[in-house]
Amino acid sequence: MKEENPVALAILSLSEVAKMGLMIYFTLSQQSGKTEEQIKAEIPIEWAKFQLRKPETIPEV
Amino acid sequence: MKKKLLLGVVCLGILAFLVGCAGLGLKAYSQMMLEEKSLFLLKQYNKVWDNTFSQTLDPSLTAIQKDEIKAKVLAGVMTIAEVPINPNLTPEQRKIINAKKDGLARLYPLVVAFKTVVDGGGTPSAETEQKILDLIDQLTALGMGV
Repeated sequence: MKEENPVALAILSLSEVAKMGLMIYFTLSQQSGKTEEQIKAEIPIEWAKFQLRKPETIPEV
Repeated sequence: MKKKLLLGVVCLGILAFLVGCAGLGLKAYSQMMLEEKSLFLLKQYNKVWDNTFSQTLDPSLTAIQKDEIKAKVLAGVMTIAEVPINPNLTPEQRKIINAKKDGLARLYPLVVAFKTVVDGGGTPSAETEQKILDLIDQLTALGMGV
């Protein structure tokens, strides 16, 4: 029986881990991702929360 | 053997990072929609403002007092002349704070313009966007000086 190359085996197992990682990543992104409409609707609310601060409100030093 | 182990750890680290990013819903700037970008830029601007304002304050103040002063100035109940300034600022530190204030003054209209264009359904020019990002980078780098 031909002996397996340990390096090749390691590369294979690492590529499996990477594949699995990407699958989890895409699944989770889709689950936690909001639709474009949802994001667009939330932006004005977020903007209202964080008013742009005027530069002239920084004290003179 | 050690190398394999190290590779495995690195891979698992990358995996954990990807899962974490996906779970938090974090997106790279380039992947953001224009609306998200405008909010991101606003937050970055405010972060620089916050950092600069804090650097001017007397360090003997407590965190609560500092927050109160910030809130009063933003609400217009306290003028900037009434703000207790750090008396021990060196000329170099003053120079940096003034440079940041100037930078914020240049950045402010650009961020407002970006938002106005996005709100109107348009797309801000890549040049404006780059200018904003460059200015934010410059100001953030200046932040290390004080």
